Amino acid sequence: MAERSFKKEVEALRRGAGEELRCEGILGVTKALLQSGVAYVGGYQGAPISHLMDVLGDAQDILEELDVHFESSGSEATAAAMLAASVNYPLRGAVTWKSTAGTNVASDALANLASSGVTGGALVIVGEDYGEGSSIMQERSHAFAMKSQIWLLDPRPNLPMITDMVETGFDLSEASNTPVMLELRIRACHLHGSFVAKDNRRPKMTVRQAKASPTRDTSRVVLPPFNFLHEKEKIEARLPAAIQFIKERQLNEFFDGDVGDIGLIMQGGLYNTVIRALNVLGLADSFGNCRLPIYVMNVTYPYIDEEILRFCADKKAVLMIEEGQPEYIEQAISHILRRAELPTKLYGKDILPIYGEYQGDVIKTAMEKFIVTVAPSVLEGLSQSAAQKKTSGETQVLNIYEPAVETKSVESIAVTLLEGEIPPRPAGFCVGCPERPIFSAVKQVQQAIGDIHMSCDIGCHLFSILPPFDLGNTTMGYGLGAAGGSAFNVPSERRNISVMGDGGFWHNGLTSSISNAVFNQSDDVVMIVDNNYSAATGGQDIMSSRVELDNRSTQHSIEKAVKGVGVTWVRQVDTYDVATMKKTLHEAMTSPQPGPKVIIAQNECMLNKQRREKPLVRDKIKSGKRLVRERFFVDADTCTGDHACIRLSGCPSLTVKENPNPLKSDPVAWVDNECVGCGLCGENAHTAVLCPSFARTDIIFNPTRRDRFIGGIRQAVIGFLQNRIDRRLEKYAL
Amino acid sequence: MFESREQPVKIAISAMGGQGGGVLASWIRDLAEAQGYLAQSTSVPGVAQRTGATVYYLEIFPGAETERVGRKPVLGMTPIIGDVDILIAAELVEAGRAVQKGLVTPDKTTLITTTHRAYTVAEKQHLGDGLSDSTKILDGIRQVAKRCVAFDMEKLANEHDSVISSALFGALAGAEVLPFGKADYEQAIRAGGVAVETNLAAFNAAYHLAGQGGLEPAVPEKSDRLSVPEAARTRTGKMLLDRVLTEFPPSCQGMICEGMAQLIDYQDFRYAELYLERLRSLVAQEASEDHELTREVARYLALWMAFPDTIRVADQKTRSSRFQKIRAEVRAMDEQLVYPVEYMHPRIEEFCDLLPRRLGAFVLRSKRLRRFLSVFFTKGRKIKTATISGYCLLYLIASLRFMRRASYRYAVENSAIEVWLERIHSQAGKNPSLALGLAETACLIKGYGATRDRGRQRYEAIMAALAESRTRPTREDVRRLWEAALVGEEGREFALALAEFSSDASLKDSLEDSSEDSLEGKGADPRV
Ligand code: SF4
Repeated sequence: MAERSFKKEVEALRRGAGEELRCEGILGVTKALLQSGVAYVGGYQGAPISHLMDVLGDAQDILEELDVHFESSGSEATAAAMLAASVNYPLRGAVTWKSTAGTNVASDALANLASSGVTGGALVIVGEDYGEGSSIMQERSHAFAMKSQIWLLDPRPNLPMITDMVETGFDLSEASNTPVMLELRIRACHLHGSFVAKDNRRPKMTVRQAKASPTRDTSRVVLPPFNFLHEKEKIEARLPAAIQFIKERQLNEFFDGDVGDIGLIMQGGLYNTVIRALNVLGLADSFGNCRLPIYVMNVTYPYIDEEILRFCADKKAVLMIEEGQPEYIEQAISHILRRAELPTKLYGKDILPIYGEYQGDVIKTAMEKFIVTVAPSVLEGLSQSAAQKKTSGETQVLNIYEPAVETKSVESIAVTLLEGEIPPRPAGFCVGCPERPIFSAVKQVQQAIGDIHMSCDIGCHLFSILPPFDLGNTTMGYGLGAAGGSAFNVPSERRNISVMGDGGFWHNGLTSSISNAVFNQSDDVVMIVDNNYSAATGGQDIMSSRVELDNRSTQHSIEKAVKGVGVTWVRQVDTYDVATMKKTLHEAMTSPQPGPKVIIAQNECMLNKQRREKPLVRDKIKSGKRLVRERFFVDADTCTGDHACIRLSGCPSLTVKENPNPLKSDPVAWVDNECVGCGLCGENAHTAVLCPSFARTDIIFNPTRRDRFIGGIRQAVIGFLQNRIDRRLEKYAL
Repeated sequence: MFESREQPVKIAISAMGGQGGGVLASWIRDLAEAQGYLAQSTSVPGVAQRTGATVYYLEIFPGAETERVGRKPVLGMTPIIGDVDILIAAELVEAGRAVQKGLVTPDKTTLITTTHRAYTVAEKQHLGDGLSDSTKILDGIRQVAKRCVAFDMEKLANEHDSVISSALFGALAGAEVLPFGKADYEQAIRAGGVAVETNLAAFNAAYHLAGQGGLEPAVPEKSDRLSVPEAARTRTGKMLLDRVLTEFPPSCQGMICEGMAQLIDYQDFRYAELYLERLRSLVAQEASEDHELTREVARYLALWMAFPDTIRVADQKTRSSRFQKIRAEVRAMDEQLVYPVEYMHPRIEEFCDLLPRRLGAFVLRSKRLRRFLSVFFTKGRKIKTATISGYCLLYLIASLRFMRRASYRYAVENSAIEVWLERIHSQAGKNPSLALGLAETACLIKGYGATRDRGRQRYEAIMAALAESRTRPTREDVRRLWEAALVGEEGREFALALAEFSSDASLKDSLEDSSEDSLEGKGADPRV
């Protein structure tokens, strides 16, 4: 079950024409899919579109009512391949994933799909994981669109526009027989706003109908000679059709401005940020009325030369605002202008940063630079400092204005005060996470036998690379943990360890990592972290999830799977059992048995477990039933203040507080009330022989009569002895 | 060409993932929408929700203006430096981070922040005190904000059995920066429908505090002057107290009294007397008026003399005050039963520590005996201190106090203490700065088992380096060394610092060639 439930929200998907929906971008996209008469949907979870998969999962009933087929695809490649259904049949299909990570995985199928061309609209909704909050390599989906000739939509980030673009995307796809990608940036996916709904539409043709009367067209298969034909078709038929459609439907937008001789061109997704920046500079109002003319590319690929030339024709300079690198659009525009021999000067990444997310202040600074460089008079009286400085030096318009760094005195004092006091706070393992003990064990083993090369994967377990564990060398992709360690498959004194999550394992790991290790007779150690879910992406169910689900087949054992591909050394260990884990690791590192040593570290994701159990516990306590809650406790008097326990754990609940001993200044360890009693603190205290200050406390809620009776006797004896201690302490005092 | 002069209100929430920043954002959104405003919020979930730092951003815009213009406004997605009206921070360092990013400016931003800390791994994992200075952060952010409402909202939320978002929401209402009434806010909480009672309680408390200005007094500086008890509680205690008052300068008295009290608690009056004797010979030697050396030695001597052995641990774990502390900390209700389960892992070393001096040394030296006995000490033990058998076991161990002075461990620690004092004495007159450095290096001697061994090794390494140095090391030189010793477990930083010190020393040496002040103390291992 996913971390976040949308059961309540999905009811909004039933709303009809004219009703206003207030929701997150993701829910809006789902609604738009239903309004477009989509016949099938698939995808693979991953921020920022994880919630789209969750919404679809929770909307199963509604989808069924509309005869929409939905699959949680095994990987992005699976999802992309699913779109094959739109090649022969007029079926509208949509899939979604995190990009560019997912697009990389999908690109094999995606390229084939693009070559074949589609009959029914095929839409890929990519969550562009770029900039703040991103967890992957910083690349652009744009390159995929260009290389495969897929059209790329990047709409202005407001819900009416985004939802509209979903429907339009299908139309464009069908008009040009080409798959279309809809790119949503991180904040747009989680943008909360409102739009007016339309009625849901049943698909014109359902998947069932298509299946019942198969048709085929050999020329759609990617095989000679058709593959050559496809390329020709792409350029000679599909591209012109797309351009025609985009122009007719006016998907790109022109906004007028009174400063007519300069202008801005931008990707649609950046529009709101640009307007806000101009607004701060006094060049736009809150409704988007802007003094500079703007050309918004809601379609960022293909480029509509004619529109670009029309926009640039009467301008002496334009600024291309394009996020990410390389600057494909800017290069294209430069080429278009050159071809047409237009003298318009094109600015872009010479003014804007070449790489990195374009947040508000980045754009604001760039805007100032641009205007002061090409038309300083525009800023006069508004932002005096910049304009004045420029007018004093004046005239060489070709030099880009560089604003001097000025900091107001108060701010700089404060910032100096803060220097060195603001430690970084990267994301990390949650309270009681079952993955943490694995790395406590690895760290202890490493302390004993020396440094280990560790090949990591994608997933929460990748947090091992951060303090306090500092474990792990590389991550090459989902399910590629062991593959990333495969070059080290040579005899050596110390084996290397690779880590892989259950999500990655089913996604790609079984074949690319495990089978490969078996086939190539690797002797190294592979650790598979089995926490019942694809936890990093929001706790979606996978093949090996323990729950029984209505419409998915689960409970498939990882152990059986690896044995099935020929692994002979497999051990399953409870992650919280650090001692056994250490022992098993030692064994795996030294076992003479040939072939990969697979350790399956099993325990449920604590976030999901808590979400399930907390309400049950609350009810039980309320109804007066006996219940034992475990949590940990550190004796402040006994604590060393050395924090070795923290260096083996990093649990947010295991923190520090002021030392109660006035002679000592080191903060002491302390467990806060969020502790879920996972037991790692105790395991570490034992296995690493830490100080004796850790205690677990068993708190008995609603004790029974028997509990109270035994408790009473114990209290009598202990109380008697404690009284003696107290009396001694009274005698021995200053 | 502009149609409107109206600006949205821009609100950023700087928080940690999983802290409820999303709930707060949705309350503000609901509140604004209920009052006829247009609201847009954005966030960055993904991995940030796993405890990392994150920023939520909202813009709200008056609906009346939207109607007048007949169109929807274009609302921003990310905060812009210098253009945030309200910054809400759910943790103090996160407030600092926002200020560092420039999201708080004196002409514009009302800063609403809690003052509590959730320590980062970077701070917590230090081998000593690696925490950021909250006072500095609070100072900094106050200077830069147009207005600052700051108090411990986490504590307040806890007191009302609620979560920090309610307190922040209350503080926002109390600061009266948004054009909404208190009742409107409360309605948003009610509409949320979760834990309404407790959320409202925390909301109200925070509302009132913020209304009164909501500025917490800055945390007082920690001082090294402890106060002298007004009167002794026992007769022998009075004698000792009188001695402190007559024989020591006022600047040291508080520290010495505290040290004495801890040693009486640890062993007995005689032990405290030994402590006084040791300090008396030092104070006579110290020329400085402030007597900082005596004070620092008083601190570390008390800590060292109260070395934590198994007897001490058992003693601390059997006291009634500890049982009360546990109950309070785990927030046990009166009717609930609480059973602590102690995680102990005595090693053969700890066992030998308790043996009489010669016997302990013998066992530790004999490989065969060691191996034989080790079998009993391979596993950690869980001891239930609130059951009769578990408690009695610890009670018995604690009562071995009477034979502590004869134990192997006592002998080891005692001779190390004497070597240390000797070194300090030898420098107190010649190089008082170095003497202070030597005194402070004792901060490395702490804890149990591996921690203590590592600290001890580094301590000895520093002593050895100082002994070899032919220059005149200062307190600062020594501080650099012991600070480096506290940085990483592997000791890379420490090795670097040592190397730097030695090369520095030899460089200075060749320049000045002044060898007269070199340190005499030997780096001998007193454990032998
Ligand atoms: S036992 Fe320790 S590691 Fe586990 S949840 Fe509690 S504090 Fe965190």
